[in-house]
Amino acid sequence: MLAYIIRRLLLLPILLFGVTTFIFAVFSLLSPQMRASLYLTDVPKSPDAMERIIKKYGLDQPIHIQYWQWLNQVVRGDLGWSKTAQRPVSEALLYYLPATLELAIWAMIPVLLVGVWLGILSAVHQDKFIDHATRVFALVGWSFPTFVFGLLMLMYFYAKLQWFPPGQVSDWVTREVINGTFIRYTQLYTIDALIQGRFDVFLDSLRHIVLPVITLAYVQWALLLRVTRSSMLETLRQEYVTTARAKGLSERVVINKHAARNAMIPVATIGGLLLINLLNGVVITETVFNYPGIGRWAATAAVQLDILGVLGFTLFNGFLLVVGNLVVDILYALIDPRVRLE
Amino acid sequence: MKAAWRWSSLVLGVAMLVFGVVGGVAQIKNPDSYIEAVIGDLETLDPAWHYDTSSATAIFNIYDTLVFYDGEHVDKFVPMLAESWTISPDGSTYTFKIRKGVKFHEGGDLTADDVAYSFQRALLQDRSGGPIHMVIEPILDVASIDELAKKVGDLKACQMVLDAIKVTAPDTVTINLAFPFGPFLQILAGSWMSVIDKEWAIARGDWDGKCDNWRKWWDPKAEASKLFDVANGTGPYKLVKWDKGKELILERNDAYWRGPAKIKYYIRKVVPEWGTRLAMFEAGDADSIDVPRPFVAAMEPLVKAGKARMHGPLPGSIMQSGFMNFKVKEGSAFMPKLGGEDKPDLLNDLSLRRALNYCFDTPTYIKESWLGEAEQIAGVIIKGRLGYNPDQKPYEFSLAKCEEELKKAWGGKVWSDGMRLVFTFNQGNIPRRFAAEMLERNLEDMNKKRPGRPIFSVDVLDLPWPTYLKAMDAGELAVFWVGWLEDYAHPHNWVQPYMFRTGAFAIGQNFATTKDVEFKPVYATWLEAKKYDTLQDLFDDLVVKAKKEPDQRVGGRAEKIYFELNRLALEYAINIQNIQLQVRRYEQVWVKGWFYNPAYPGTYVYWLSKG
Repeated sequence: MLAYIIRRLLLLPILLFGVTTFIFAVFSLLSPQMRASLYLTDVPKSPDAMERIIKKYGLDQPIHIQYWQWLNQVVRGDLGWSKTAQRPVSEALLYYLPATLELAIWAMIPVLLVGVWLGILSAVHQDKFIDHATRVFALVGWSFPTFVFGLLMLMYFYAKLQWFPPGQVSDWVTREVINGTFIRYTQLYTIDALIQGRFDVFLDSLRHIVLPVITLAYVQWALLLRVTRSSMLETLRQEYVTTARAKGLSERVVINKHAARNAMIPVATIGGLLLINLLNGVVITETVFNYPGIGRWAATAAVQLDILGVLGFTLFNGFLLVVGNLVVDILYALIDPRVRLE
Repeated sequence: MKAAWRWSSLVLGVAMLVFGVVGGVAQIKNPDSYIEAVIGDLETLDPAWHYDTSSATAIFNIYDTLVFYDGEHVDKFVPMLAESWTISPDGSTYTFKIRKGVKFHEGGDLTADDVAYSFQRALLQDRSGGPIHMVIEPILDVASIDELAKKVGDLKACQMVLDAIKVTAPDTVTINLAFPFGPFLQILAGSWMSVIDKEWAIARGDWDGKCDNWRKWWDPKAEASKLFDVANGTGPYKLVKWDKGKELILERNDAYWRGPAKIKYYIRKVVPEWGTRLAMFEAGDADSIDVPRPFVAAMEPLVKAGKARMHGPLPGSIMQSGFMNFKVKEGSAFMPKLGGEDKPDLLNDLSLRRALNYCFDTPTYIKESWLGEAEQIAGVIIKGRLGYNPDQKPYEFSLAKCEEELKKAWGGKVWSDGMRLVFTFNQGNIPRRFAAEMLERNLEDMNKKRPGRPIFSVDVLDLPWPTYLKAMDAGELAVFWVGWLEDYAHPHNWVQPYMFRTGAFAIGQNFATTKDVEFKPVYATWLEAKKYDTLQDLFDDLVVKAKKEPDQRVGGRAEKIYFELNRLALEYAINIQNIQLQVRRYEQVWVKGWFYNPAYPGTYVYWLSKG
């Protein structure tokens, strides 16, 4: 297994080099003037403004030289400056990641619990009303455009009922952070609130995270339901399940103890991939709920041709995908002894 | 983007109806804070570096300038950090007496030295694409400090800056201009001329006030400026935190020299998604929000239900215009043709340019593209500025007059031999596409009235913004649509880009192609009637005369010269219809004290209260 892990990790720099080369190649198709538009979005109001900007940011240099300079910086740990984040790229990643991580962690709870429960329910009641109802419910979520669903949630639960506001925390919490009366040790508001015993902050943070979590969960339930349902149906057809029933075990024990556990193996894989996906940032949900996560920043950087921002995000993304998938593979082998990593 | 707007409007409309969001009882939320939900974040907090509205909004709440606009007026000023000022009879020396007893947020005392240092630093920093070119021109008569340094050397250039702006008595700062410049007070009222604390800036590692190494601080990237994300002004609010990409928090300066503001906090939240901003407004968590024009309809039910107050439509400080190039550059891909042959100077014909104006259906354009919230302007100076002439009438939409002028163009050759024109606009700009396509349709419809003749052919092309700008500067475009957002509230900021030879638009229009131009003054009757070699020479002469004219009052001599320029712009039909856009503001009904001054970059919270 160790050789497998090392081999996979060795692939990481090659993958990142390939991806960043590709992005630079794509950006090289744009003229220096186009890339300068990040810094000059209006009619230039002084005669030499465009030329001075191109020169200042080195946009007229051949693209391979720009790439080489960037690689040299990266080796020294400097990912450059993100114009859209208004801070160094490495700092931007560290700044936006905790919010996304917090959202992902909280979203995984209903995604897994409800998704798996619906899948089991659907499988156990195959082709009955409950099966059809749960599948329709999940499919509606799958087909609903996220931003439409998110906006509807926001208009009702925030604009009308004023229960769940957008953003990450209320202004009074922000002021407490500024005044130093609430410390952000982990940068995750809910965790920091629990550490400091500040249930008011914990509840406020939860109020802000409820709607994005529901929106994310509703979209993901259909996938988990399908995987759980088919895995469960397959397991329920296994001989050991028939044996368990023949032994006279109650249906609840057969399903919960014997069938569900084995049916969870593919679900664990999907769950891991879902978490990786959420950590990449959920652009639409973060935008609709004005949640300051990594997805919203990456989308802005891409739209505004913030090359260094896009490259930094890509590096992070590539790292997450390779390492995340490796972790999922290892966990898969640990959960299912039949799987061997070679 | 348009599809997203439609979706968003539809979803919000349905949601508002279904959930009955409209009609709740207004309850003041966050009484000690003024919260704005806006589309974009600041670029910097450095007054000399910023050139965007978001940064300007923050800066003019934190800092003060020497003078500022008097209430709603754009041509009257009140003393701010300058207790009083005098202008020399020739209009080239400004002397400011600096107010005593004013303190910076971090405790420093305001001195004349701080004022001089702030301005000198701004001129020497002069970042590319920034606002300082507006100040450098009248003080040093060059476009940039780099240009001056290349002429006279770094040391001498810096010394010239220090000589032009200096402390002449313990409480007095004198600024010597290279030539009299009418709009100078307007430029001084801009947030880029905010006064900073010299000692504080130097302590942070900014320019040390010496001439031997000023290049070290010249033309920095935003983040390289030592004042990028810090602030220490004398203004009504002080910086608490700029959480980049998220929000700006300012707190009242209780020791403000004009007395403390009524609202304790000013919070500016970045909320790019329109639906989220609307929801925040609905919930009362935003006191005002950015409302792009396509979403205006979504605000109307709130206004009717008494949940929102709308100011407007108000005359904005932005104009959209079509431009015609009198001589397109040889080899251009957008070359006009007459009778199938290349004709670079096709538009150097007054009748043809007038025809294009008469053929432009302005009422429909305003209704369709701007939802009726725009106004046709006769000339290049917008309504509300010195030199705007309400008696001057723009070209009306008349296909009959268009036909008449087309028949006269190039001695009848256009009508008999046909022509080809390429209309261009920047990619993604829907109103400009609409303008180009509408004029194309009306011109090509003329072919029905001239059967059997070579046709009028118009191609409409969209170009990526940078390519578009480059082609415009190079004089390659024949007919193009662009907009201008005013920098400062003075007609010079309109006649310069539209008519002066180095102006942003005039540079791509080649007015010098029109030769032997007779000028007979109509308004500025003291001016000599004379013949100019080219139309450009006439424009340049009048633009310079107007800006150097010391009498800048309403009814004064400068106004009369601007009347002349506006008249000439219309008579020579240098544009295809100028459209001044209108603006609206939506705020909670509990917000009190807001008034409209188009020269304000954003909300000035000092005047506001909630209750």
